[in-house]
Amino acid sequence: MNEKKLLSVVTGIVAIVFTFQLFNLQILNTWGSNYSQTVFISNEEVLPGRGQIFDRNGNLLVSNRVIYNLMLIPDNLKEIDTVEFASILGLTKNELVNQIKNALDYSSFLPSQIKTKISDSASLVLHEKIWKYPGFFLEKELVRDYKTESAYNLLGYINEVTPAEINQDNSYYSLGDLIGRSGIEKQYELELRGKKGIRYFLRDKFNRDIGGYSDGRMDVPAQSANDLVLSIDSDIQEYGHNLMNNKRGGIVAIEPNSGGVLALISKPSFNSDSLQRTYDTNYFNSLIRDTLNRPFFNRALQAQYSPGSPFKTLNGLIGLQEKVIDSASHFVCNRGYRYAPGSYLACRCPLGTRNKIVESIRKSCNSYFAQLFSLLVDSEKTPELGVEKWRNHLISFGLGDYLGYDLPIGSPGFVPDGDYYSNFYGDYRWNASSIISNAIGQGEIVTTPIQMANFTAAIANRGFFYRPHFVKKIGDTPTQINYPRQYTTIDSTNFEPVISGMEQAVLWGTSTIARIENIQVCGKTGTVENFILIDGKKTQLTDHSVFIAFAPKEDPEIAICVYIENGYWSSRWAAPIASLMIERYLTGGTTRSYLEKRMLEGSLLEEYKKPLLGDSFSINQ
Amino acid sequence: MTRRPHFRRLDLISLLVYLILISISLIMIYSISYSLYEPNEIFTLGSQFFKQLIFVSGSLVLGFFIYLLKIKFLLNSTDVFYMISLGLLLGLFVFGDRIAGAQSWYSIGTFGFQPSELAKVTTVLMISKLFHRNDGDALIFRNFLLVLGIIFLPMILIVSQSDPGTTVTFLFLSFLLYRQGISVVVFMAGILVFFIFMITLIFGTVKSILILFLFVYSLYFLIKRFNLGITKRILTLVTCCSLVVILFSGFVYYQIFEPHHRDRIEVFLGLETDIQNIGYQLNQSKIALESGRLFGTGYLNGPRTLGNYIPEQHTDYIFTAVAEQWGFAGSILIIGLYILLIIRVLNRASLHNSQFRKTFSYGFAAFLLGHFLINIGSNIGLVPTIGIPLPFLSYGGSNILSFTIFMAIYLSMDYRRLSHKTLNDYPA
Repeated sequence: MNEKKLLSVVTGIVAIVFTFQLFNLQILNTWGSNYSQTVFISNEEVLPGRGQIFDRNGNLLVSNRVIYNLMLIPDNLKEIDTVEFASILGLTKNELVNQIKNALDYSSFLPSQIKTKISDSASLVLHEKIWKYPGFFLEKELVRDYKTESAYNLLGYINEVTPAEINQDNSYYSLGDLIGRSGIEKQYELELRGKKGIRYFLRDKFNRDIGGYSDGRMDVPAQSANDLVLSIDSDIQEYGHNLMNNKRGGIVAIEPNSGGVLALISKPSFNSDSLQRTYDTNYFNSLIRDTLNRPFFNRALQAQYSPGSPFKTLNGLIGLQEKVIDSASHFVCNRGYRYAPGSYLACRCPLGTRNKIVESIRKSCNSYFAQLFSLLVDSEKTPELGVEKWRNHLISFGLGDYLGYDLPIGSPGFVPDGDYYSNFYGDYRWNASSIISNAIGQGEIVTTPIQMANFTAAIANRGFFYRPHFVKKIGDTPTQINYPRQYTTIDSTNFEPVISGMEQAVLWGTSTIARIENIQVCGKTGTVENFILIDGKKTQLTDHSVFIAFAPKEDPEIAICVYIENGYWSSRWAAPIASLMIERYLTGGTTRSYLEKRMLEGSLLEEYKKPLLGDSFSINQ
Repeated sequence: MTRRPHFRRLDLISLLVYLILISISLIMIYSISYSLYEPNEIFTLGSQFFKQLIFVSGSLVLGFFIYLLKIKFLLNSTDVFYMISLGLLLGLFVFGDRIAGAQSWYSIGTFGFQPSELAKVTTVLMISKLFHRNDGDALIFRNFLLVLGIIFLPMILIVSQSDPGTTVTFLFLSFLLYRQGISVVVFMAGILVFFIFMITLIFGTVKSILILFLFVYSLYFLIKRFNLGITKRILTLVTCCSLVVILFSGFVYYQIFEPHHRDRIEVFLGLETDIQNIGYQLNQSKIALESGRLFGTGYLNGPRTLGNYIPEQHTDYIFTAVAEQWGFAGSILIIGLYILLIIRVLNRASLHNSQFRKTFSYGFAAFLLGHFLINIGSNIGLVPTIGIPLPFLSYGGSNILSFTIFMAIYLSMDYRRLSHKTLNDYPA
């Protein structure tokens, strides 16, 4: 054997061994099996754009907007003019240097956030000049773009998920995701968020993204979210919002023939745009600490007020239905009603006035409804049974219940039953006169503005309502099928006298200010006494100004409840606002610009200050 | 006229393989230094790709000039070249730069020059010259020692500069001694020493001595029983030598090898399984091979390569870049090209009439085989990683330069092949 043969043989053996080993590793994969597939492939979530929200006329209320975060990969950093850069960003030089140091502490090769939510003007400048600052780049982020300022309470806001929420729904959320926090954003989170996709990508040894894996064949595309169409009419929503300037209270307007809410206004409100994705919690804290205005408290949905005189319409209906009265029966009012020895319920009717149901609603006669209520409670063997009967009718109007509308907050209100009074006064120790205040909506019964708007709609419909709801369409699917007609316990024929009373109240009764030319408005005023505790002492404040109405009388298109805290007379605030909104909704404008101006400019802030100042104060001025 | 095969014809096959390999080298180094983050940086002067481009073009130019040199001139200047390379190696102790633990580089600006690579060429030239002088002689002990001296002198210098990888490749020159009449026994002994060394590392000195005696004892009985014709004297000699090897293994292992070499050997022997630290390189390399499958992940699409996961991928682990991006097919292509080149060189070498040319060509083939075996072997986990480049393919100026010089001289010798007629006493 010569060296040629020896070397050839060795070479041959080496070649065979190598080929065998390579075949083993590369074709048979005997060594690692799949290890190579898992170790360097990462995936990231692809977020679909959050669903847009439209009003009933197709006006965009909420869409998405791009904001920019300034990112830095410290490894690529070169010498830069920190002073100029800091001034573009609106930071001080030291702040910028500290941010860069923090980023460097985190990782040299992975991007860190230097500044979030860069203002529009700064991002424009940055887009032009970013090339001067190697290592820095702008990262897009989608946030909510609220097109109207009038519906933050209704629409809600979004914010980053908390660890607790991630645990609750750990199949979906991950840190940094946004979630609806209140209003429509929270209620329809599942529809609005869409479905996240997954993008697989390769990492290099520094964990940097080095491109998609196998040309994206394994990627799951994000499923875009559903757009929502609300039943809200953004025009009157905005209008009502403006009319409520410098006032506290709530407005709910409902379309009686569908149950769709046309406007939901609660004042004071907050700003969803400032709340979303805020790393600076000052704004949120300032809202949550404002215990006077309570901006997160939705007065239209959550505030439980005494319904006041508008409640008389329901008592009248119950009396008619229970045949305690009929449309011709009358009660005498002697400037009020002496319901028990020494106890007198005042009224504004002159001495010896005889009121039938229609007049009593027109004039809002307290005596009439006190006597009606007494008869009603006493019509059964015991007052408990009488109250129970009364209560069942009220329940059928949706009182004492959350109503089941599609927003995540609300209050049930309260409709007392016989047991409640038996517990309060003791068995057989009470009768109709003990609870007579309920006759005029001032007693133990409390309702929320949306409940009042709802029963107004039921009256407008002559005996039925649709559960109020805010979303008309999810994507292309109408939601009306989820809201079937709910009948009240009152026969439709019994509504006519009450509706006539409401119509006359507007025409020549208590609320002539709500009269609109060529539109038959039916309304009922309310001026609600209310009390608070100041230093442990029950103190009366200026009455709430309340108004319920629907229009037109035949085939009503809008039912509305306006509740203004401490506004005094109904016709001072609530009735004009309700009337203006109805006019705006039905005609698109107003002929009473003087009234509109007074409402827009009127302020109750002085009234709200009174109990806070610590001095004695006078009410109902 | 007698037939004159292969006469005056350029060895196009070798040249073609050479050109293909350096092209693949550029393609692969491009993919390794390619960065998604700075895609344009690859065309700047500092990038590995660009430097390699300079090395390759420089080497091609230099190779062409060396190709033009007369063989006679080479023969006559061999002593000078050898002395220069030894001088350069010696100079490293004073002027050398320490890179990756080895003090074996001269820095020239941003470039490094590794004289041990050049020493490969000059050593082969020197041995060839020695054989040339003693053409036809049987092994003379004095010459044998001389050859050993020529080989060991640079080896000792290189090993003392902490570069055992390059040192080991010189051992492949011992193939050249084989032709000079060294019997198979020497190779058997070499292999035996290697195995005993490994066994000592695995089992430790005391256990290895026990194993040795157990083995010899049973062998003794087998010899007695079957009368194998191995005398007691040989057995005793082998036993004594083995004992010495065992006793000195520890010394050699701990004194000559650097810690990182010891780690690699331990990983290879399965004594160490820490894939996070020591075994990381081999582990990543195997992952790259695995993800290659049959046709690879596609060029510039290999996750391990693109992600720079494999340390020293552009030099010692360049094969993994091919294996990952072009798969098993690419691996076989590379292995095929090397085998083709080695066999081709061997075939052409055997046709030489001149000892100088013949020995040089064999030396070239031996070096090629040595690098090929150790480099690719360590890439696929068959040989411990000791860090030597793959000829033509790996990044590095000195490597490209030395093997291009080898190639140029080989081609030149092959082209100016001497016919029998022109043979005189000592034809160059």
